[in-house]
Amino acid sequence: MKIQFTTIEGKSFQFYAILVILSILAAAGLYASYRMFEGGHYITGMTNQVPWGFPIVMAVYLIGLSAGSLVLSSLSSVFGKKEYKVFSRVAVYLAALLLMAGLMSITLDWGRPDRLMIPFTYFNFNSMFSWNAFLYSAYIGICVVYLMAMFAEKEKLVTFIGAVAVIWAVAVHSGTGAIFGFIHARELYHSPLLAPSFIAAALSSGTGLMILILLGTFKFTNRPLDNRLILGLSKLLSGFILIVLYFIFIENLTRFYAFGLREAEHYYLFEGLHSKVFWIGLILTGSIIPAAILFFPKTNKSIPWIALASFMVVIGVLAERYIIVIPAQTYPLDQFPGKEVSSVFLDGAYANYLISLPEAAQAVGIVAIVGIMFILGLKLLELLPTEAVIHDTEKK
Amino acid sequence: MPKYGMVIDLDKCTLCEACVTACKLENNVQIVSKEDAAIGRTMFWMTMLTLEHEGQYPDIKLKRIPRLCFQCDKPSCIKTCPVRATYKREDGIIAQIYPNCIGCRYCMANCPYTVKVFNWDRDKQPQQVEKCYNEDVSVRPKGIVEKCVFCIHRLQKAEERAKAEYRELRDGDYVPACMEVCPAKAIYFGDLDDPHSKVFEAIKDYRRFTLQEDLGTIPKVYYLNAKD
Repeated sequence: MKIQFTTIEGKSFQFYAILVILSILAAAGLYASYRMFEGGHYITGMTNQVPWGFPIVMAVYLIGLSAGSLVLSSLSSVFGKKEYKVFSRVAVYLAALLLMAGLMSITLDWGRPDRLMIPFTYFNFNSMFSWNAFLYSAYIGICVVYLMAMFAEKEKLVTFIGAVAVIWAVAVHSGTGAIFGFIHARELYHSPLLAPSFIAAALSSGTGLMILILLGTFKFTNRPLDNRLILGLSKLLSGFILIVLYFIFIENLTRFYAFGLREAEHYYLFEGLHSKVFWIGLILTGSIIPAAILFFPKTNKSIPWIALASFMVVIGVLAERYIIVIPAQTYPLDQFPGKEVSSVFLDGAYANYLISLPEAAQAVGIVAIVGIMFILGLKLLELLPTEAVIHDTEKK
Repeated sequence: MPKYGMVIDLDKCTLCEACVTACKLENNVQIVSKEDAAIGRTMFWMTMLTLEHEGQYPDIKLKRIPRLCFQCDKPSCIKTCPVRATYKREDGIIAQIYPNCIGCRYCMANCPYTVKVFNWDRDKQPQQVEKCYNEDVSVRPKGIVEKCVFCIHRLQKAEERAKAEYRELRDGDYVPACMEVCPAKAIYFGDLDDPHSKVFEAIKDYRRFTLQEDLGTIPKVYYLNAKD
């Protein structure tokens, strides 16, 4: 049976209410970014010791969600899971939006966002940032073409672009991981595992977000949604959670094993605010509890529980991004092994980083912009199917 | 082509911090408020690192070393800069192109020696500071990264003077501000490849060391360890 995609009506009171609330949040976020640009970055929590703060955490997180979403959209076109075709359009559209949001977070974090075109005109072959500037632009282009091919219902073209999109999503997110993994000087960054673990986190957070988006949109538009779809996605999610946990375990075990890294590892796991984010945010909220929900037979068939688990994973991956980006910078560089170093520059001391209000407002604003664009997209483009029901003849 | 480098003799160094002050004034480095300095937004191109600190004043034992950009032969900062705003000149100086810098701070995260500083809020300068700006050096706007460039403006001046006098650049014509003011003459600067230069002599010393040699960055600023 052919799936009918239609726009939503978007005339109800709730629709406009959501739009207005999101617009207010977006305006607040943009105002915070303007203050950062106009007044200088002193209003953020970043310092010379911690040059990358929450905007970079958000950027990595959003790019991860985007990559995960794009891979999910290709489940039907490339990997032959036809029943997942119902959300492929939404997933691609969301992937494009989230990547743009991630780029926005990075660009607004620059000291000079007005110099936006310079990365495209001065290319540094060795810099991961430089490569990413092109990977990301092409990614958005691929998303647009992919979506247009889907609107035109050209099956073969969709399959081809879908394959390109999957490869590209993996490349883009590995590039994002490599930004950190290639930093030799900081022992908590420098790791070849960072790129694959970024992909795993992207897949798990992308799947979690897709479950939430599907449940939310279908409930809101009163369109029928087959529970088996959500159950299938939740099975994928439970696998991805385990892969993420595995990467975290291996990475930390490696660092714990080496004597030279043990002090850094101890700091990473047990000291400071980030260690709480690690244990409570990532391990407990982001992995153990959702995994328990998804594997426990009484809860893994109930939609509210799955929604809760998905939400926890989405939050947990944000925590993971935080504990990847921040502690590596707050842990001091070992400039003189064996000596206690101190200076007015705060060398040798644990640096502090606290998310400031403008950074948080900017992050919320960017997410709100994604929300606005998403619901406007639902209204203007034929993204949502009239029904998401798996017909038994379809399932082979 | 010369290869400029520096040697700091820690045996001669009296920890007076004249180099730190001279550097700050010479290069129009931003003056930071107390509050910003306390949370780690200090602006220095040259700082003093304290390694050992024992006892109470006046019976105190200190070990400190001045730290500036090491102008690495294999710098990790130029590798990461997406816009080539920091680059290695033929004479080995790692220079900065301020109008190109987008302020992404990738180089700051990558520098193993934390010598790069970001202009968090340039606008909050005290009024009087403008009167004592050095005219030869640009005042960096907010939102970009800066660092020590071996007082590169002095090289330009020295080259022009030598040209006007129809001669080659001699050892000692071009010296950075920190070396010029050092009262103990603990800083040597010059062409590392020139066998007649003072630095060439100085780096042959057995006390020579550089910071974090295992990273393979090959700093061109050498230290001579203090004789205990």
